[in-house]
Amino acid sequence: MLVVNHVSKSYGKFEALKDINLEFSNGVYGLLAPNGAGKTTLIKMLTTLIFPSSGEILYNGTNIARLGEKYRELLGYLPQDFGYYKNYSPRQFLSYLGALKGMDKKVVNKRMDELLKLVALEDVATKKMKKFSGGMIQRVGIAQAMLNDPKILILDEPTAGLDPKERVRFRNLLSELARDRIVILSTHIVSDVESIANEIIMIKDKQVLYKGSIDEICKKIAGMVYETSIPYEQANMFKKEVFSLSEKQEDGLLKIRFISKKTPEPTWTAVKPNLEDVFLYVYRDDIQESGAS
Amino acid sequence: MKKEKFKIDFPSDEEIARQISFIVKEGLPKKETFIKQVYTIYQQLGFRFLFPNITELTFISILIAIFLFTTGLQAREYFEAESGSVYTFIFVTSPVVYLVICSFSWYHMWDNRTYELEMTCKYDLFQLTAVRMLAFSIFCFALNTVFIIAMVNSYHHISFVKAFLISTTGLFLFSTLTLLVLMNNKSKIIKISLLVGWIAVNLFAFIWSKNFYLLVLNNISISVYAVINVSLVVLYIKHLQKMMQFRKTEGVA
Repeated sequence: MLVVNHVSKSYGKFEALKDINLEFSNGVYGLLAPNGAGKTTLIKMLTTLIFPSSGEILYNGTNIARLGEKYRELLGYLPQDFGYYKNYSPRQFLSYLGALKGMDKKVVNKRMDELLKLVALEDVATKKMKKFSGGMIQRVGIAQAMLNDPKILILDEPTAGLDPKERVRFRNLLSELARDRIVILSTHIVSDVESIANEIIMIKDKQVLYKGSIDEICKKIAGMVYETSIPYEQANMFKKEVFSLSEKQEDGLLKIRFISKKTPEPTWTAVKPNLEDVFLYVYRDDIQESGAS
Repeated sequence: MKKEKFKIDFPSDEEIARQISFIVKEGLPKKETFIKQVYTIYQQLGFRFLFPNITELTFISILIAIFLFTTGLQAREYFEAESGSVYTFIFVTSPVVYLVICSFSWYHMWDNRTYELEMTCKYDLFQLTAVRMLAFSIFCFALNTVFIIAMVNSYHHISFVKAFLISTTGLFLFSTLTLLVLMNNKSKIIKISLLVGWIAVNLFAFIWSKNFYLLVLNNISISVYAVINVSLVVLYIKHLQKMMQFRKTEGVA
């Protein structure tokens, strides 16, 4: 079990994260927050790239800083800005990282064949990566993160550059993997985690705002989400009174999904909130916040 | 009500000793010697992965070596007219190949943005950098020795021992400074300043007060140079060792 215990991180006077408390056991965890909220800082601390200013991160009761290379042996990590050697082929690059991860050559070769097939790169396994598309590079990144069959798999914005088909395949893969390991998925794309995460962690104002299952988090705005159709002329006035979540044209009218704390009007239809509704509501800007109240 | 008495078998002396040794082994990881660590990393990675840009490094080294050899052997008039200036040349240029190949190696890593990935592996970038710097310094030491042999053959007034000691002092002084800056300073400006500054400061000192500079360089006795040399090599190895342990397990202490 991975435990984040009263962790704070400051850079000089700037406080990036404040008193974070989290627990991770096997399963998929979606770390959901807009860009700049502190997701990457938390990820970097979980991967020992930086250390907390105060508090500690424990793996099975021992501080990960103290575990050192023993902890890193258990770790699979895909950074947000995934770097690679352009003149290497995926096979060479995975061999290199396998060696750095302290793996046996035979094991690396066997695992590499499986993973390259899994991420559909077996046909280009010996081609230099400098000619690869963004999606192909991202798939190499995913393969390298899983190379050592990690007990803790940390992926920072892993679906960037993947096409819809690859995204679905990737999500299925993660669900399968999470049966016997901790998978932490940091993203600002709600759909990436909505279907697979056992728990969602939302960070706001440098602190953990919510941690729980999708259902539990969605209950936070239960009874406040509605849909209605209005003429376009009334749209601007209506949006000043409610917090708009999504809008689309339907039969010459504007179909709007929104959040309101007011007593519902007869034309409003109450709907079940989803994670995206919570995300948009939680991270709404100040102007929209005043409109919804 | 009678209390039930539990009888627990006391472990045997062998069992106690075995458990103590297991706890000590797990809690206090055995510190490997520097040589053993270098050898383990070399065995695990092999030459190809330890120096992923070996072709470029070889090419750059050959180019700089040609430039230094040509300059050193062609400036006969100047070196013969200006007694002692040849030692200045040897001192200033001794870490140049090291400086360039280290800088190139770091640039390569920065350009490929592999830092984060390599730092989260079992053998992290500090350990790799320590092994690479050790290899680079051994290579430069050998190259400098060949350079000095060529210079001694070309200029008969040069003492091999003195030239060798001055060259080694220059190389290990610079490499130790580089290690100190790498490990203790996060500022990129300071790191770059050291790389560029070595040649600039030495040239400035030479131009500003040639007599004083030559006096310092030439008047140090061979035995003092030898002591400085040994101290610098020891300091360098100690810092490489420290770099190797930079993020290692702390045990239970």
